[in-house]
Amino acid sequence: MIDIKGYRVEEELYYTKDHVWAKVEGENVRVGVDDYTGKTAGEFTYVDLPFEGDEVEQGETLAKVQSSKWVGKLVAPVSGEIVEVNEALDRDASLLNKDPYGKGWIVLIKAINLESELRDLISGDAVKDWMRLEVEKAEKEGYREKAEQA
Amino acid sequence: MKKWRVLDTGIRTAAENMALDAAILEAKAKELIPNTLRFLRFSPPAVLVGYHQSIEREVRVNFCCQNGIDINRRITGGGAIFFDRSQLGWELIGSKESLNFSVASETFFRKVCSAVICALRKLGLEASFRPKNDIEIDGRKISGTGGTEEGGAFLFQGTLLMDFDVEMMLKALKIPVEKLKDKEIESVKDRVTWLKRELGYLPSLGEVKGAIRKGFEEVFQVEFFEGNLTAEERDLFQGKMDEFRSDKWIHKVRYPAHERQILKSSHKAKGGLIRVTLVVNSRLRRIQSALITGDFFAFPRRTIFDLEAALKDIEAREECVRKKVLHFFKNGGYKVLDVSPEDFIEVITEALSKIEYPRYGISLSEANRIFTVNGTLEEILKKNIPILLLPYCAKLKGCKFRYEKDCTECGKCSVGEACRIARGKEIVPTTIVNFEDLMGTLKMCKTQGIEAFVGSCCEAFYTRHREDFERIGLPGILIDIDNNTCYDLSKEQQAYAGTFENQTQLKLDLLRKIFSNISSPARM
Repeated sequence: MIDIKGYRVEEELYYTKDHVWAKVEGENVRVGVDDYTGKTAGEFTYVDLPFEGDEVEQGETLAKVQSSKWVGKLVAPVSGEIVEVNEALDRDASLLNKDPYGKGWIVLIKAINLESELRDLISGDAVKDWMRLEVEKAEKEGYREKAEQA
Repeated sequence: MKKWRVLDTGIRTAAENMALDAAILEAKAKELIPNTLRFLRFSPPAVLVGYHQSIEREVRVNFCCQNGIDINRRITGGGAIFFDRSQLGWELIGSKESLNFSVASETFFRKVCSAVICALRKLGLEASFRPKNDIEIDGRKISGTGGTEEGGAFLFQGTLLMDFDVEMMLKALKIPVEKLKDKEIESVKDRVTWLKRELGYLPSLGEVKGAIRKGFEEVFQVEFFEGNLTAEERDLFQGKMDEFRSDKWIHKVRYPAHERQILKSSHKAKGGLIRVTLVVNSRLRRIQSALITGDFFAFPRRTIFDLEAALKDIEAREECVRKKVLHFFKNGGYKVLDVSPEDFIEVITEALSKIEYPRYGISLSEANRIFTVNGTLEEILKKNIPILLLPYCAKLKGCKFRYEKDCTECGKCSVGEACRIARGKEIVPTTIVNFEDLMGTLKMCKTQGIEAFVGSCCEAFYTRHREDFERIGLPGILIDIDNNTCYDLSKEQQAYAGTFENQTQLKLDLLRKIFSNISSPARM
């Protein structure tokens, strides 16, 4: 885990450019949102989760989350079947903020096209550079103000 | 300079406007259209719930059906709103990339709202942003907003109140005011405002739209061109109409009714009475909204409205309320005369403690008719309760025992029945004949080592004398009474002296429920 300008980043994970992370666990992929999302969006109050057995395609909406009257859509980082859903989020959506890489995981997907789809995600050394750019972009637009207060 | 489109979709039904939101957002996600500022209006009037809300919990469905008010669901977050024909909706649909963000933040909301604030200033009004995403004038909300995203596109929308029928809104939405009394309507009017009220005249729609357009041009450094829906947008719109007219969409979210609780409490602080009404989602344990009223003095006037906004969406737990209230008063430059942050924390926490009442078979509406002193309901029910205190005002007006401690249980008033219920539980009933008698009885109970009592009194009496109960220190459960009380009739002086001449009604069902929770056989 590294810290980039106040945001915790798990370097070994894969990321979509919308800040959804993917962790490979054998043939399955665990999915969540990163610390940047939680700190930028503010506290999450609702999560609309998919059902076990649902099939998702990479880039499709996987779950909907609400914070501050904003309904955000989280996209699937890989295609496959949803084999497990974190039901704890139904009762406490703020786990996404409090423990984004741990108890705040969202779903487990049994991937069907893992190897090629992982290539579409940000990983390895590129993670640090991407996150640094994201933070700089937010700073430039003044969107960073909130994160510093958090 | 960048060119954005301004689109006026005119007056439409709720389903059409919701389908257009989805269609234009999808068109933007597919990069088929430029960034767009859209103006929208509604006819018939409409109630729109937020994406995650349940119609049953937020809307008075029968009233809306009987009065030709459309009901629909937004694709954006936030609370239920009432959109009558006079209101103007505005929204910005754009690519996240063009505004340089990946995750929407409060600063982004602030930036979009600043365009509308700029417009209101052009109309001569001192508007400002109130976190997390409202626009207000001197503490009163004039524009509420919400947003969503799809792929690389976002939609951020708001209402602008031009002229407003507060009573109609209160009838259409389940806002926690009980009887639509003048006082309750006033407390809502205090919290919202509209252009006609602020300006003293109703500006033309053209003037307002022009100001908003200029506001966006200045804030985002863009130029607008007037456009219409494109062929692709019209196709998407037509393709979505069935969905947005369907029950499946409108009733997409159904929560069990018990998950939305209205919890009330009041507290007499040195500086005045504080009443709090909370709407709480008990499953998510979150405060949906808070209404705080009373007769205290707050500076500036907007203090309480800002405090209510700060309490919105926080976790319904004492530690979260404490943190929020202390932070609010520490940093905001707010002052409430002779009312401390602790007073607010106490009254809010007390209201929240009622979340647990259904465990005792006590329904939501009943929960607000029970008051406790010197302990929570849970704590007091565990104690040995040997005595029931009944108010003389519930006895028959002509009864010769009206001003006596005893009752013959003749069956002509609710006191006799209450006595019978008490005796069945080996609890001793006694009538309280005036205020001194109450104080004397409580002191005597305390001296005799009695652990707790059950009693009955009206809310006004409880609120006014809560400190007296606390001074004596005996834990007790008080059940509200029905009918016009001395306080409703402004005859509290007579009641205090024991000469009040109206007859009230005890809530026997509630008394039975409380007694059914007292497990240990009680003995005097």
